[in-house]
Amino acid sequence: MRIVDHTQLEELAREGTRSLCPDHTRITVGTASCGSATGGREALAAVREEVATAGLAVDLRETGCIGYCQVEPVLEVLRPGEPRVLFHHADAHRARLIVRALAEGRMPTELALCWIPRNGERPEWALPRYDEVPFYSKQLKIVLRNSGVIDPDSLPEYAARGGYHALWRALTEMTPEEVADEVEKAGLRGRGGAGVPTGRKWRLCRDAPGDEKFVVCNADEGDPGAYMDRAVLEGDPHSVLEGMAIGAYSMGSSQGYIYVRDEYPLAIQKLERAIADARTAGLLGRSVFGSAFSFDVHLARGGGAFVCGEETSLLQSIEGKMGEPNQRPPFPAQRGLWGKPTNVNNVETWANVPEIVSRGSAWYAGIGTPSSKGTKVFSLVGKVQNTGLVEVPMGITLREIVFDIGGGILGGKKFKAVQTGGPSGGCIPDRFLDLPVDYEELNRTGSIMGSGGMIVMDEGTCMVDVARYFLDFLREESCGKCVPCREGIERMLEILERICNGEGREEDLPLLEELATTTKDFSLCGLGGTAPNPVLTTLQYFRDEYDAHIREHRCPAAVCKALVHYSIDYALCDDCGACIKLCPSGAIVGEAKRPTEFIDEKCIKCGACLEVCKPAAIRVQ
Amino acid sequence: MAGATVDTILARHGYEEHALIAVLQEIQRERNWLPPEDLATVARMLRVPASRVYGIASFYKAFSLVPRGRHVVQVCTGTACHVRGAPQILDRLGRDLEIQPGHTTNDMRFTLEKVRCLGCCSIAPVVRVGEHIHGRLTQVRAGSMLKKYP
Amino acid sequence: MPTLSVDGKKATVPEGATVLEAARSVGQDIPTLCYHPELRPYGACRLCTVEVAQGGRVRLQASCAMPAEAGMEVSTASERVLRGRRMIVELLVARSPNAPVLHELAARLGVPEGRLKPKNELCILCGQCVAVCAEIVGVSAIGFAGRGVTRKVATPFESPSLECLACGACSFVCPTGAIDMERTTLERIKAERSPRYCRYSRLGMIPNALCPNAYECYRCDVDQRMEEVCGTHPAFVASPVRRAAPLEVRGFQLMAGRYYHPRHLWVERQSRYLRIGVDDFARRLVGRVLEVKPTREPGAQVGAGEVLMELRLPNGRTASVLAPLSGQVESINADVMVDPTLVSKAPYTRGWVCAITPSAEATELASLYFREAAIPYLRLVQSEPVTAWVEAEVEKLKHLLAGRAPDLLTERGLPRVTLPEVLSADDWQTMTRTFFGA
Repeated sequence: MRIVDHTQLEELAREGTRSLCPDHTRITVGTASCGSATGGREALAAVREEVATAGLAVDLRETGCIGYCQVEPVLEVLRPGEPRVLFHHADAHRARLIVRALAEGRMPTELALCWIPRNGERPEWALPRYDEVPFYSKQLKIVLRNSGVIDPDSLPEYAARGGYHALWRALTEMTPEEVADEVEKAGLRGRGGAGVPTGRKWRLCRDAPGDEKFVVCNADEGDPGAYMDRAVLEGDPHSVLEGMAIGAYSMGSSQGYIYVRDEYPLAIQKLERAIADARTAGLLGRSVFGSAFSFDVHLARGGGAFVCGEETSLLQSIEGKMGEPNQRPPFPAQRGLWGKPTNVNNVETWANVPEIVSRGSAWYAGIGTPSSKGTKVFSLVGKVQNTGLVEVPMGITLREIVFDIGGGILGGKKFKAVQTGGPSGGCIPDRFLDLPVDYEELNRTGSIMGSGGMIVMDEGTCMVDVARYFLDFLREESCGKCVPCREGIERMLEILERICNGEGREEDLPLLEELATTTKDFSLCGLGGTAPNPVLTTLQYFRDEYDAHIREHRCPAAVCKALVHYSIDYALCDDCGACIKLCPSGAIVGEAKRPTEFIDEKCIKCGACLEVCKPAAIRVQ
Repeated sequence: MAGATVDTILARHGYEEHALIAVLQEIQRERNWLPPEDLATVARMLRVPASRVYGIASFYKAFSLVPRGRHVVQVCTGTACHVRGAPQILDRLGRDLEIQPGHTTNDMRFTLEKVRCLGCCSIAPVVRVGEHIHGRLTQVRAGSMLKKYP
Repeated sequence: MPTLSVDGKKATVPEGATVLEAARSVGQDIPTLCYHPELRPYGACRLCTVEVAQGGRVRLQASCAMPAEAGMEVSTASERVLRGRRMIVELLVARSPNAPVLHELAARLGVPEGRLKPKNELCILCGQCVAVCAEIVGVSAIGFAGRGVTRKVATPFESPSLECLACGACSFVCPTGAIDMERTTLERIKAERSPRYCRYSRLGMIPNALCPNAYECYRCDVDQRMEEVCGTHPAFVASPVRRAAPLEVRGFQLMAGRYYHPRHLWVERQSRYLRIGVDDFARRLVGRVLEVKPTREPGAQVGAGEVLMELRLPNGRTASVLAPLSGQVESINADVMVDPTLVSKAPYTRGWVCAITPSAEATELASLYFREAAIPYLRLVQSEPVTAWVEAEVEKLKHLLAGRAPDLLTERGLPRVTLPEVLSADDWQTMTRTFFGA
């Protein structure tokens, strides 16, 4: 059915509400990539089987990522008249237990994580409310508003959550200028890296001469450690399409492209479905909502190149070329895809747009700090208790994110740093833990906001190794076009490898700084321009670790293989014999199950023994 | 199937030049690698220089110019996986399969690759075998994981 | 004509000039390795980076690709610039210790020695060879392959290129002497039984000249004189308009610097006569040309609008090429007689069909042709009449083929299939009448 008036949109939304809150039980299982990887698919199958056995009337749906990935697989149960109940660690076995309890007419709250209020119900369960769970307590969901709630394949459910109402509003009540104004007044800034004000960027493209323009969604989420864009695409694809349509209307474009990285097959699948549904409903394609505005979206699949996250390379790649960046100016807004004015925003930025248009710029600008408005999604990962996606208002402190939401460091170890901004960012030490997180404050530490990866590092992380890791990453991902990036990164890596091998020299550090400065200043694009950040920040904040490697040939975190030695603390050993059996190089010799000798020359430092040693009798120094 | 398949794929994209990457992706999905004769056909049919097709095929990581094994084992080496032990997992798999990353076992069963972030950082370290993602791996579990793939 | 200041000197340059050109115009020398005045700026070596102050901000910009704007204040040799420049040369010397050009630069800039472990590459990946082959020669026999540290200049699949003309333009522009691909191609051509055309013939400069010297150009009189006369590699003077970016409308390309005739022909002035070929729209419609059958011998007269040649197409279909203007047929392109597919493979270059000496050039050109101006590559290509014309033709095509399943055209209007193969005889006739007919 093509939707051409508001009544029909309302009807679509009502259909969605009926499916979100049916008059019998609804069970949703999170089957986004991370959910599937931890057993979500098996849980889904188990639920289906149990439901059939018990003959229950259940609406079984799949949904995207609800953010708390640490406790995946996650399953949600909604019974008429009750709030939603969220179950964690819901693998196939627990999923069966849940369904069996439901079949007995009982809500198995003993297996649940929390309940989520719907219509002001106050259940008498001994179960925390959603916002009483530390992980969710400080979150504010705008971008992730639908992820993990709706079935991403259901257009009606998206509409039921207010979806496509913003587009309707823009097309019927606002001029293109007013839309751009609203986005500008909201203070939305690019969520992909540099934080360019979105409204200003739109205006540049709007004002550029030319009757054919393009809007592009950068879904080449390449920063390792960041996956919020994948979650949005897998869990709420329509929000991106709606955002792009609103942007296209504002900028006078009728064609859009979404450039999705090759590593995200499920996101591509969800997008394909969403685009097809939106076209059928007349929300994309010729004459959107029956108006004079036409807009269609095409998918372009990346080929596996980090540099394609840089907008000029991304456009080259859409044109079917090597992803090599071009010097700016001209900016894509002047001369982009096929030489036409083009606006590129990333997934998270686009997903913010519908909410700004429907709830107004004043509401949005009321969230955050003076320079950075709204929320930001971070992927909180690494050596932290609670890993997952967290969406928080700008201005929250790093401490709140890592310790309150994240629950602190894994295994009670000591916090060392948090790495933000991926390979373009830096490592922020503990003295900045009370820093309010926004674009400017993070820049001040030498790091950047970037796309929102937040990798927590503890005392067992070697900062020289981290710098080496990022340079190794960038050496493989640099396109190789310009000299400072291609040759500079390789030489910096050469030096860091030397240091990690205990062969560092005093004069290496000044040379490293010199190389870093040139690479930063002289590279052609942002990849090279920010590549030295991990080196520069670790040099600035963790110079003592560099010195320990160079002067004492010692790796304080016991990570750099060439500088560590394994040994056994026989006093702690419980004679289980696992290490003897497992050691691939025969370095641990024993009588029966008791290790008697450790042959250092044979040890390949693979760490397999560490993994199995329950009493932690293996020493690494 | 050689010529016919490539032609069907090209037709689906209207023989348009800018579909070059998409065409190569489909060929790769079909054959698990990019045979040179297919690339020559693509260049001829899309009327683009063979040098450009070769450039693209060798630029993007998703493409392989040599035949790959039945199961492609991709060890995620993103930051979160790195700090949670991906290098050890990679070493372990390399030792088990007796190959370096980027290579294929002699029996064509496995190809070992390292990839930069599969976006499953919360369940690091992660390995993808074919379409299946394995999370929260240890060296021991990584070793036994391979047994599931004939 | 923007005026800017370069190291305190006033420079006034034409619109579209780069900062590098502005600096050189007032005698400020900036070192470059990847820059060539005849090639599109590539911006890879970064040696030409300068400080540009504008609107209260100071930025480092590669001057070769930065358009000069009024009011800019440029410092070509500030301390920050020199520091980086030295480091870049140091990196390059370490990469290619055997390239004399780098040692000269290093000596000039005072670059420290021995801090980096030397590698042994001769190629510095400046890209001039790739660009000259693509932009000037127009064959793209070589390109970049790999990425990052594995990046290199290579022939397709690293085997001898079939497209290479062995013209030698790539080794001519190479600053470090890293190219020897040309030789393997010469060996290949020698080994083939095909006629041994002279490299200037393969470049399209001299029609049908055979090489009497077994491709040992140093023994060739013509070769010596060609380089003397041209003052550069002759490829650069062969077809200067190739340097301008083609205009693209709805996916159809129009080469700059040519006249277009409404029956989908292009006309290009070549000293005394005019060269004629089919345009991109026509070649996509006809698909593959199996045979070219001229109706006139060289020397014969032809009137505007008369059939000049017939193209035999797949499936027994044909299309005719009309004479876009009256005159005397000067020559028929021998290459397309041997390989008719060139007409559709390389319609704007090697696939030209014939040359005509016009009888009333001035009036006919003015009244009948759209003129696409030769546009410097840095500016946007804009040409309204031509654009509107192609748009209208695409709409016509869409209309003619509307409602067919499966869709014969892509969304932008490009044919998805070889049309002569799928259209009935009647439909094809309608097509030729609409687009190529008298």
